[in-house]
Amino acid sequence: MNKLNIALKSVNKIGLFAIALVAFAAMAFTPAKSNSVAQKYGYDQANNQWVLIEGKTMDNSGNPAPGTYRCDASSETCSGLFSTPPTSGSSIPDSGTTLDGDFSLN
Amino acid sequence: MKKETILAIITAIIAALFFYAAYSKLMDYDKSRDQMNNQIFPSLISSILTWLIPTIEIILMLGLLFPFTRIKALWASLALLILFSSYIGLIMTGIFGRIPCSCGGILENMSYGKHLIFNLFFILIAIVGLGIENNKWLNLLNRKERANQFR
Repeated sequence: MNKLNIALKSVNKIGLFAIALVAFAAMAFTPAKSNSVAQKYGYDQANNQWVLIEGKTMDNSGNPAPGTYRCDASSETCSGLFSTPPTSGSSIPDSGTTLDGDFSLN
Repeated sequence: MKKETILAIITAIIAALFFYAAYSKLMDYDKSRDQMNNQIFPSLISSILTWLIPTIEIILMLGLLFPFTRIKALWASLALLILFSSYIGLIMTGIFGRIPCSCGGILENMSYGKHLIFNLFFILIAIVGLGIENNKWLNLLNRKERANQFR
């Protein structure tokens, strides 16, 4: 107990102040998370990136309509929902929202 | 300014850096995990580093705040900063074939070059801190030696 008291008394007060200042600034300048609705992205394997396909419909037919996308049978990830936009190709979609297949835009 | 005050300021700056680095990773853990997955490491190593790096940063931050752990924490901080800077240097050479994101709080808006300069500044002040600390011990030893001579 005595050792703890000594340790607490000898703590770097400038350091504590600096950390408190950084904590305050970090919290003050962190924007609040918006309650955005998850958006659908397709995984472009060739370019290792997620492509926004919100509002587009899937069309796996032989003569697909323009502006649609396809998910050909495959064990790869085709699409998924993201509550926050993916930052890279390795970003992980919201749990339980992925769909298997080879993604491509029609 | 007294050497002890300079040392307190130096350790405070480095401790604040580690606090911010750990805070920004832990406050948005999912994003931090995505950013780590974007790095060049295999997924198993990435998943370990996602929690290991902020843990080390918190330990170092605490170590820098207490006088009896300060030297060890300063050496460890210097080693970690050199490790981070070496990684940035390797990334900049393009040796891995791709440039992953330069992530981490405010640093994600910085280029790798600026990130490296930022790290080098902290390496420099850690070296200055260690220099002051070692000098202090050296002076203490000299004083003891001189005291022994007069006995």
